[in-house]
Amino acid sequence: MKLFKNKLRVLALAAGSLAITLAGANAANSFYTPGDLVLYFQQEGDTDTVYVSLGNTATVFRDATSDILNTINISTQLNAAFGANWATATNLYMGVAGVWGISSTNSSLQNGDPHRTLYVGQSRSGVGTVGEANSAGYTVNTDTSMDIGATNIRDMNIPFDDASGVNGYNSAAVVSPTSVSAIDNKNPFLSPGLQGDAFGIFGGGVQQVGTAGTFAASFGAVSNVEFALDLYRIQARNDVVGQYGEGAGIRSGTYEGSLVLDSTGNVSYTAAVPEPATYALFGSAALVIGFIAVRRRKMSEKQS
Amino acid sequence: MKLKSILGGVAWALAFIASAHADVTVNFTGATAFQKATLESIKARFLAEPIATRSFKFAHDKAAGGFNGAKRSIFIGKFPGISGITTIKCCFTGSVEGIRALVPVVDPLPPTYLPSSVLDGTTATDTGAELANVTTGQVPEPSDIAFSDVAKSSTPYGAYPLQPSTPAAGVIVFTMIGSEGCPISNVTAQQFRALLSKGFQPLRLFTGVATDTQKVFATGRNDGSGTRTTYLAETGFGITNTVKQYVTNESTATELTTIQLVPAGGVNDPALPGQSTANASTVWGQDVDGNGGYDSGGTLKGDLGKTGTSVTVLDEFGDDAFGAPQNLFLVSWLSLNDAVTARQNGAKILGYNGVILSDIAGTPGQAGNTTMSAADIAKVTEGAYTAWGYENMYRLNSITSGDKLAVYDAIKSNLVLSTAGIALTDMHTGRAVDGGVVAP
Repeated sequence: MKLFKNKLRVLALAAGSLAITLAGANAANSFYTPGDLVLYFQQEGDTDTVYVSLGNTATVFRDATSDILNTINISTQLNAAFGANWATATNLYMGVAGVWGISSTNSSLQNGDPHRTLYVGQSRSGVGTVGEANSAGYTVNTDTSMDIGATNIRDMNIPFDDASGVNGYNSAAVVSPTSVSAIDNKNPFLSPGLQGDAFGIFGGGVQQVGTAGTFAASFGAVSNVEFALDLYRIQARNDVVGQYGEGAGIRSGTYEGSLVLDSTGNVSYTAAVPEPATYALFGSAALVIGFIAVRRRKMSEKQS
Repeated sequence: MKLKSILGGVAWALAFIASAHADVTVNFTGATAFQKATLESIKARFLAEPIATRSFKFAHDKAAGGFNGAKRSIFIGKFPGISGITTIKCCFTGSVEGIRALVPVVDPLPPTYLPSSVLDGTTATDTGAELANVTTGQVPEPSDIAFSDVAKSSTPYGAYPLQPSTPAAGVIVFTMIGSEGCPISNVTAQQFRALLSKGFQPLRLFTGVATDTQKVFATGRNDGSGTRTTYLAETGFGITNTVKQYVTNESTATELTTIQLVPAGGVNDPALPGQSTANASTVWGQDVDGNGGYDSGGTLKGDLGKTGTSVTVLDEFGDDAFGAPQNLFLVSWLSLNDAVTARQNGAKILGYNGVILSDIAGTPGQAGNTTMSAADIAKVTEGAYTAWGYENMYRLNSITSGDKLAVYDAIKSNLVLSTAGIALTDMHTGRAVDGGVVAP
């Protein structure tokens, strides 16, 4: 049934894209699929927000082995929504989040991720070391909180997905008025400059606020950095056979990399660099595997 | 009897001939939770006509004598203060749906009304000639008046002008309710929010007993419902937030057999047995997995009167969620009207935030009280029990005079409040908005 439904979804997506191509008819945004990582912007007091689809959370961002530079330029959308001086606005917020499914019980996977696997950004405290987290990270206390977070991330992206076609969105980056967008609703403010609970579970919000200057003159290969968010993956389950992170911890964020926006509107991603301890672990594993292989060969030679 | 009928017929004919040009048709829609009160109020108005000129007939889709539970009905006759023949049609589709029917937006589910012709062969009488079980021939028509359990501002249509500026006509009372056999006695707003967030929770969350590992599932209405809007507002869940709710796909007369987390659109592809597209939530543009619900309180209250000792639980994809049938309970929120019916069928009326309307809660499966006692009413009017909302009566912005306004005013001023209602004048507390603080 799941496979059938997935096939239907693929067919529906293909059919939708075809419809757009042929007739420009109403259909879902073909540039967004649940499970894509969405970069989003809101400005206090403004009547516009911006959604940007960056590609699938798992296949593009999870365990990425190399940086992704200038994956998309969104200066046109930022200028249209917040004006030409968006880079120096001190009340402009950038966040990033994605989830592909919200089921509490279903064990299907999307690219190895179970339902309710959250990908959420967190403001970097400073430049720090490129390839390493420079933020506190996330721990989600309860399984129900994972439901709430997953549902709210999904719901934030419903207007962007535009399944019914009423918003006319068919682009990787769209300016969405606050009357349509759910970004403000899912990233509320307690008072000016004070973010509330993002997605109902992340106290203090998940976004970074802009500064009058730049966040950093450089961050890895990126210059004139305006925003930098650390990306965390938080899984609700570790008991689905074959899943990524099977048996690993749940409800605790693992750092995947950092999303960076420069002053010209280019979005880049710097992948996490495995820590020395991880390299040591890899090395140990390789030694053990090698030892076992040698031993087996010797035993095989003895038996023959 | 014959003389009475003849006189009634003569009166009907005279009234019809004398004022053919003043005939008026008024279409009612809106709250299913308030349909009993609405229908009883309409019939009472026709009966308020002086006996000499009293003459009316009515048809509905329920069995004889059950007009006050009808989704669709039509009344034709002499209405007090209106010279010609007055036709009142009713189709109850839910509070938010009702408001949608009055504003200029695309309505994918417009109310459909019984045509006047269904009563062509029925002779009016001074007590009202009844034609029951009329279920065919309904057609979409514009609506004039809508009852709503919630304010227009609690719907997506708050910006559209409607009359009047003070639409509250009474207070409608709701209750938490558990399915037959439910061991829960009280539900707090916190517990309900947890339930709606996940779709189910362990029984121990409600009982405080660590060994209660059975599951409790959330069930309820789709987003066209004022009942749903009220529970989302009152419990602090948030009117525009999506929920995870289950509906019954299959059951016997007494047992639930299959429930499912409502899929987007209300049905899977291909559709599973018992699914309905009417269960989709379309009002807020959030037709997504889990967010649907029953499109009427009738089916919901019926399902709550059933036991769930061996129930297959399907996820939104139609797969068995737990791999084996579950011994489970449902928890929801109903108007007192519907809750009393459900209770008589075995459901259990629960307390809310530690306060229960104990007299009407009675004993599951027994006839019990069908109206609130003075003690129950006092819990509402004095502010101890906050599961209530204002019953609002909206009309088209264009109805500012004439016979349609006369009908509106007559009904609003003479509401028969029935089981779930309390008069505004009896309330010693109030609230500014749906779900707002209750205080004197």
